[in-house]
Amino acid sequence: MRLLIGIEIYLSRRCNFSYFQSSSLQMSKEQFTSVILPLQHKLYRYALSIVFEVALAEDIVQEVLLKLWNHRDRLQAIDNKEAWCIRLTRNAAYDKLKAASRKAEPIDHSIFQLVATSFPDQETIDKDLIEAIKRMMEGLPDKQKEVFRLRELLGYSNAEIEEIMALDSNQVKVNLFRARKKIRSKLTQLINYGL
Amino acid sequence: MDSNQQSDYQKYWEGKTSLKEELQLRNQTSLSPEEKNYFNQLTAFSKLEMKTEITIEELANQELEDKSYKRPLHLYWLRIAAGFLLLVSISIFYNWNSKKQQESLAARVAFDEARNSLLLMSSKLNKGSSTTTYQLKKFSVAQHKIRSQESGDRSQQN
Repeated sequence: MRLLIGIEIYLSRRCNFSYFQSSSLQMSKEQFTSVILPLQHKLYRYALSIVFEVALAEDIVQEVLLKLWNHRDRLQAIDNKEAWCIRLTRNAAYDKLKAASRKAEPIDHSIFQLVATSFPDQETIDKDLIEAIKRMMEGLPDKQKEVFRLRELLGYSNAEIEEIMALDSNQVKVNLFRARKKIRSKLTQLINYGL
Repeated sequence: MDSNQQSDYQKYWEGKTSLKEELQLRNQTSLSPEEKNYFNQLTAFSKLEMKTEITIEELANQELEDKSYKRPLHLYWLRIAAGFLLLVSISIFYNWNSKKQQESLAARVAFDEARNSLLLMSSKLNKGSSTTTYQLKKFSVAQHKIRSQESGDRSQQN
């Protein structure tokens, strides 16, 4: 079904028509407001934990929500909408990172611009926090990073992580264990040697 | 830190705690400053929100804006035509190339045939000319013998 939806999204993008458009699959404005829109902050935190830049993370969420809204006629067919949204956000975030690396613009640059605008205190705190989380996740392999992100920053259970990442329960446990072990060793270094 | 809390933290670092237990751990106070800082940072990050919430009206307006811009239809036809043209030119080139290859192959075969027949002819000619030379030699020897015999007879008569 997902493959069909993917093909359909591609075709509708290219040719501006839809095969599956039917009233039973269409998500109403109210449903979208109650199911998808409340996820925006979670999606924002998720995007932020990938790109580590406030403005970029907001852009990503806006883009993802708009994409979901434009394809709301197919959303009803998806069982786990939250997992679907997370995956869309991840793809969008990595696309943005790729585009940014192609432009060779340092991503942190815009954080400093942001700090200089409104609410300097809160933004400085947020910036420090984002930097701290970035440092915490530095050096973790991709899978461990992803499990850590979903578990510690978004509060997903292991079962939900399994579904989002398409891993089995053992892989999730092992990756979480290894990620925490590495972070603990960093903390120990900090406690013992102040590094 | 009491032993229960310590074992809970151990369980946490080993990834054996549930989400509920982890939430309780984050709120406990008997931690080293670094660990406290770690859990505080996680909690603070989990509470971050977008500065301006996206509303359904914004999305609907954006959708209308996007819909108002439609890609001109002739662009699709232009793409199809370009693709068709590309296919036709590839097939023409392929045909032309294979025809050219066939022609050069035929010319090569004809050249080989001609060369073989010329070789055969020349070998036959060589054979014929050597036989003729041999016969001519024999003839000249015989002629010489007859002439010398005739001159001997004449001298005897005289």
